[in-house]
Amino acid sequence: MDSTLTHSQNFLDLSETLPGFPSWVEDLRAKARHSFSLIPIPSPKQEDWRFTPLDKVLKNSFRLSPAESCTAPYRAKTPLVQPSDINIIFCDGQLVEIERLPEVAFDALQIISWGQGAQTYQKDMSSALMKFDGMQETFFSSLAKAFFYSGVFLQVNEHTHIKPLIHIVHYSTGRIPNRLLVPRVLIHLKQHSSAQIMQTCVSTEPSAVYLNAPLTEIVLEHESSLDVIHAQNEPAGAFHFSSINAVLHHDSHFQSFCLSTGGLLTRNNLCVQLREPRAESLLNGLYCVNKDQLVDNHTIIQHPVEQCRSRQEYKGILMDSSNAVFNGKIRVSPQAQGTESYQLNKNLLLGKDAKVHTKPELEIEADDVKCSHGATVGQLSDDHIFYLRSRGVSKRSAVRMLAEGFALDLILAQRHPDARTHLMKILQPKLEDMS
Amino acid sequence: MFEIRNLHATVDGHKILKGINLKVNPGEVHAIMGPNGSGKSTLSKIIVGHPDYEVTEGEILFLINGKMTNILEMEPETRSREGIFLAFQYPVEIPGVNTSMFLRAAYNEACKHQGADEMDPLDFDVYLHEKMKLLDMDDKFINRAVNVDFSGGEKKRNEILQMAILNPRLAVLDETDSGLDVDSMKIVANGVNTLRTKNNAFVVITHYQRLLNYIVPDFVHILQDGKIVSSGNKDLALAVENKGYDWLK
Repeated sequence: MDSTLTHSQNFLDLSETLPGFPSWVEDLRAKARHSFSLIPIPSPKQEDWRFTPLDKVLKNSFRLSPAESCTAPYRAKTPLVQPSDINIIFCDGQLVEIERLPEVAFDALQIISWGQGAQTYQKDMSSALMKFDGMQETFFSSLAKAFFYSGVFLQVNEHTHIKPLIHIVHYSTGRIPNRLLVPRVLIHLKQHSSAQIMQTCVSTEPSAVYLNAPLTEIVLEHESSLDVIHAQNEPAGAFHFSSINAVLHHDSHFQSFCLSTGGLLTRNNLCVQLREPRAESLLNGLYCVNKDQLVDNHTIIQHPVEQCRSRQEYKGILMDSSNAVFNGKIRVSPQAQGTESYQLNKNLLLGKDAKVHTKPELEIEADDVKCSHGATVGQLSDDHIFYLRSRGVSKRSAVRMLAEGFALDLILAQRHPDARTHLMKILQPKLEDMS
Repeated sequence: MFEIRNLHATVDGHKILKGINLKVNPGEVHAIMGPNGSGKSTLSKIIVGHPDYEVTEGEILFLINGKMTNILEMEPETRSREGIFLAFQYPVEIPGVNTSMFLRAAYNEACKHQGADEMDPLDFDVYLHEKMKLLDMDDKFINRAVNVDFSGGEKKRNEILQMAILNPRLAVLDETDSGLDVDSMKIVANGVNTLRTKNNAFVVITHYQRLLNYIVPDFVHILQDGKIVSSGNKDLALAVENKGYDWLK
């Protein structure tokens, strides 16, 4: 408790009493608080935070305020967000609404608040959560586990394929300044099932300042398949620290896409463990930032067993004096023979003062593996720009078209058409916002 | 409608053009021939405003709103919107930029500039397909990224398609025949001939006389060492084909 106080004295006010959960969840929260108290506040002295200084975060004080209910009309003000067939709405970190089509039966797809789920689906939830034991904690994933007070549990039953896109929208209203948001999402796909889930973090108030630290935990049972999108377009003064942890069982397929366009500072931690043979993961990401934004993607892929495949491609578009960090760890254990793992990070610098720090970290202890990595940092070709201009397209539009062209393949790789449309709706205005 | 007066230009400090004069009237086709390094491509790029070339003397006039106007200070995109077009010798491949989307954007920029209504996607699609027919092109061209994985001949046809879409008053064709087989050349030439009217003009830059059998020029100019050394009718092109360029020096 003491070191929690130390944290709070610094930049987090965690003194509010949290609403109660069933006792098994309370126990987990208590354990998580202990773990959290042992993790130091990130600083550039730590290798993982070397290029992501938190000064701008630390000079604020963000307060957990679970008692404040949400009443604001959030939806109308954010035209970026397209309603889907299944919508799960969070407002200021609290689950407020679940809208679902009657066609999708509840026994096929369970969507329930964390608190209710903890009573009704204790066995499913606790066994899913146990899969993450031993996975490395970060400051922000640990913070969310220790202090979350609202969340959602999604579960797809065996042999069930959910076709509509499930859209989880996190609205922030900024009604209470300097709020700390820790929404938690647990996704469990049972064997032979599939689903496509998109999360979007947006604000109804462009001047809102808050710290959003959403935690998403994913368990894929054998032969299941999940596409997950994490898109954030937080306002210019907000901070976004997402954690996504996924555990994959044999013959499962995981595809993720992480789009970051907003926020003053963004850090996405994605950790995927391919726990059983023939699991596959495809992790893609796109960041497009301007002005003095900083976006940092840290991925960890663990290959503890044989015959798994992972692929990563992250692309960045950096305007003005924005900064990006990409760090991709791939760990291949000695017994993980036949592993295939590829990583690619490509950056397009559009701003004179834009900067990228990209670093692959491959720890390969098995000998029969195929692993590769690559990183590029480049600019648009003058010939391309001139060609478009010679056809009457202004220089600005040419740059925008080419930048969009650079990013497009990753968006088109999204399998759900609604997801592609939605991602373009976030990306395009960002590309217009180039100075 | 178009006139080049005493044009001098350098690239990286080297003098390439050393006093070019050329006058083009509506309805005319001018061919410019010349050996390698004579300045043909430089001239074409300067006409459309390529930033790598510096004009040190002279002017280029184009009829805009009834007035001959010096275009040298105009941005490349403005020149295009006013109706000047260059079919590139080496069209670049642009990954990720869809051909039909790009063509519509370009077309609408010109409409906007000229105070006309922009065309909506459905109408544009009809317009585009009309022009594609002219060049014997199918949907696979326009659904791909601009010039990506196009053969040499397809790239050149794509240039002429863009010309057909933008309907310029002055079109400059820079060695459009290079890399084309006879069949593709006929398609391209047929496209150009169909687009000829009494209101527009063409400047066809070529190494070889062959193309001029299909696109018959009203005037032929020989460019050597940055200057037009001889002008005549299409017989001049035949003479060059037989005797080379040296006798003109």
